[in-house]
Amino acid sequence: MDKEQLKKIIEAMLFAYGEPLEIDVICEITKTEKELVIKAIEELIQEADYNMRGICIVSLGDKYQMTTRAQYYDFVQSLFKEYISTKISQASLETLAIIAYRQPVTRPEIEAIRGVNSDSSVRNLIDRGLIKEAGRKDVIGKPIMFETTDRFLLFAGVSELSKLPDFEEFSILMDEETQLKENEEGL
Amino acid sequence: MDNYNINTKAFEGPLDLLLHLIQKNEVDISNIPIVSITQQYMEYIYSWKDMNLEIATEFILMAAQLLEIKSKMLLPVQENDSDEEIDPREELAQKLFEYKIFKEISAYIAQGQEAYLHTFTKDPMYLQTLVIEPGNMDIDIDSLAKIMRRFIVEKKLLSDKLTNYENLKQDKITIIDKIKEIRDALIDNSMLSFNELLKTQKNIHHCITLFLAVLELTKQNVVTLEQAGNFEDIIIVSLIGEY
Repeated sequence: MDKEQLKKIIEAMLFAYGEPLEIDVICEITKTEKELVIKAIEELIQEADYNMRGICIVSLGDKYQMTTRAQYYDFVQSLFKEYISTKISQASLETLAIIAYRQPVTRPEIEAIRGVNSDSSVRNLIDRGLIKEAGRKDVIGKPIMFETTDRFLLFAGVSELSKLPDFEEFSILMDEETQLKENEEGL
Repeated sequence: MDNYNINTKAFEGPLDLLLHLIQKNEVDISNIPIVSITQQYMEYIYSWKDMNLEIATEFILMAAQLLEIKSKMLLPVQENDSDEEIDPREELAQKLFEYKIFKEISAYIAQGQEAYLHTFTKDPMYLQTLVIEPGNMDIDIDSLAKIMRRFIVEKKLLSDKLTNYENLKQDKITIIDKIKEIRDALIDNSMLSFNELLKTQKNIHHCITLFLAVLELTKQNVVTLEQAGNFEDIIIVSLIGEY
């Protein structure tokens, strides 16, 4: 099968599947090596981006998903009058940040960092499909652990978790901030 | 009239409030002027109390912790095992620092939010047949949700409701109605399959009422129930034929 044909097949598969589709599944069905499949998808992504097509293909870990292009939101949204996209609350964002960097993490662990009850935030994030349960922690009470989903990658706009900035980067940033302040005070 | 000092800013929690105070006073997290910060913290709590706002217990707990630190600061300096001076504020400073980092991260990941909310994805095409391999118990919550979603689409459970929702009529079905239905059915057949009856029910409400009706008829000794084993079909046997 030549590459152009492979691209078309993958495009059709991604459209029909809707949800994030694993590369391995595409390889298995098309009986093509992973390397070639990834190359074909990369080209699909580039072509779609270059032509500003209505749909784009996003890479989420070892999966790919077809989405609409954000630029055309206003028009697409008009189709779904009952659809309201509400922003995520600050409380839920903080909870999401903790889960993203400390996963798998339990609710008590999240609450220890935030200093407040985070029950509703966790539930809200589950409802939004940004986090999911990840088994139970082997400590007293066997609390449920949480981790982020593929949808979170879409949310954060990164193709994999490792593409998020390091936790240390944020703390260095804050150290510099304090030092800057101290220097100012010195002057 | 009292002059209320109303703070409209909403705080996510006691740590958020403390960070706000630290920023306002332009002080360093690792060197908090505990007396003045505690005082300002308490002013916030009292102002909320004056406004009759419900104060989350976490805020009260933090107030107690601040007062504890404040009192410890008055005591002679304690030393740990390696003869280093213990700063009573250190634990709180670490918590504040960690929380602040996560606040920064939350601002960072929120940047992508706009684009995300403006992006649509689609559900898979739901095929006509639903295959669940028997005996496959290795199902996580995700695949269970997926199966349920397919089931809902396949059985058109949602669309039925949607078509009627502008003109909702209360379905007044009573146990008495169901008893009459069962009695009528028993005239033709002295034995009825409960499962078969269930299949003819319009909705879950009817199913439940049917079940209650069967129980009522059993109590009244109109029918008796037979079941070969757990989860087997329940056979409703009429006892009135003999009269």
